[in-house]
Amino acid sequence: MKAVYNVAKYTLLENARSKSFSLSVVFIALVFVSAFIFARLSEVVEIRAIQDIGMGAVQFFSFLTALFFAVKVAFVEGRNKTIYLPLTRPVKRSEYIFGRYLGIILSSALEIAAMGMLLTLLLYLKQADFDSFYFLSYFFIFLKIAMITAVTILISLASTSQASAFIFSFLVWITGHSLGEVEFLLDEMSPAMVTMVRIFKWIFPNYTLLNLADYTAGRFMAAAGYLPAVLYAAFYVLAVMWLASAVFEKKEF
Amino acid sequence: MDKVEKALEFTNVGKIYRRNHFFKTTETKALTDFSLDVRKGEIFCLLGLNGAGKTTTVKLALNLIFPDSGQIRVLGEKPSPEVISRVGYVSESPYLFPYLTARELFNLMGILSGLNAPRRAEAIDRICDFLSLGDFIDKKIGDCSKGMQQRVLLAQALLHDPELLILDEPYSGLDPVGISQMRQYIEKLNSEGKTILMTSHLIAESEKIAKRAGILKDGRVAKVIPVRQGLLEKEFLEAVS
Repeated sequence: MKAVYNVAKYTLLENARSKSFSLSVVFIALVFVSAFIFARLSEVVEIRAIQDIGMGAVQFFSFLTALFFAVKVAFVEGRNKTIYLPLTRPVKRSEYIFGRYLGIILSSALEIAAMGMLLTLLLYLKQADFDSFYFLSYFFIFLKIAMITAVTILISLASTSQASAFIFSFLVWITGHSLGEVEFLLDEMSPAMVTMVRIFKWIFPNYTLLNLADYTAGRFMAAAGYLPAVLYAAFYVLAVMWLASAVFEKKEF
Repeated sequence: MDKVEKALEFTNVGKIYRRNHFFKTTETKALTDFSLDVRKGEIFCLLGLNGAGKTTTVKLALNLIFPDSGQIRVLGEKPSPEVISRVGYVSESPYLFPYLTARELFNLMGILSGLNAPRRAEAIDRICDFLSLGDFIDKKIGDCSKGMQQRVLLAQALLHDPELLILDEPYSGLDPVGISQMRQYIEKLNSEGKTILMTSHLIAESEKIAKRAGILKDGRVAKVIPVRQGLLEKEFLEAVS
């Protein structure tokens, strides 16, 4: 556990100093520009637009940085041989990869918290009603990022190029968000397709269960759905990281 | 008794690299029937042309890749995380974590090597003194010169006071002053009792410090010879031609 904790700690330190965090600056710019543009519209529309664009931006930028960090850890460091340093130490490979994973999701948590605070500040300045539902949305964005980080690590460990690791992870992100919509089409599908969709629902992260941010205005998700969603995310992450750890154990560098 | 005298032992080792691209697997033979031993306390140099199997040999010893056949013994044991704790490794180029300072890197590597806080602090002081790292220790590694990064790389390998030091092309990318310094460090470490296995393209430099040399050709040991001044290059060329 000591190794996991320390690998996570130094991963967080590295990530915080890396240029990838400057993506947050782009986020701030985006939100402020949108605020300026929508200032021309009525007060209600302006606030709603800032909320929607802001929440979408928090999710998208935290996804991009998590993707970058995960590919770096599981693919780039193997290719440029930085991984030789920790792996030539008496540390279990599973401890190392779990430590790296924890470091990345801690970085994501900080990034989401920072961007969320900025968005809240902006809404406060625009005199929007304070809504605790938004903080819950940030938490569910974090769960989605934790899931895609685990998947990206697994994909990167099995990939033969950096580009394919990015592309496949991006496709998983898109597919995970589409699973809910595909469900509506099941009646019109052939039995084979229905079986395939059901298999996909087990393999891909089903983000429909965690899309609190999308439902902010309508509040579709009942409070009773929170705990199963959190448990689903935790179970999914553990299963994928267990698989990633098994692949990492056998991987040659 | 025989085991303890050999720091490293390869017996009939075979290694094939397999690469998968779109359901097609390509195979490259890296080592074939490879047998070699490095004695405790010596400086042994692995020489060979590009692709001869030098880096594969090093990676197998460090458990970074796994053999397809044969047996490997590192300090008398099968390669494992436990025995690797008695080995130090310096890679060909300074593959380090650019956003960490040298001190942070040493702390992390010290923790992963199982050193407690007082032993880590003592080891960092000792290594900084030995390699004259000075103020560079608190500078981000990515901001250091290549020569300084090479020293940081050597320092992290020495933190846990290893019995066997594996140096993969330790002179790579260094200027003449850097090469001379590196040679002095290697000689001093060997005089302190450490076994050194190094790979190199620089025959003249290897000749200055190695006691024995293994010449590799096409993944096999072509020749193992005691190093005699002025003769290594000739013997190397004879073996690889």
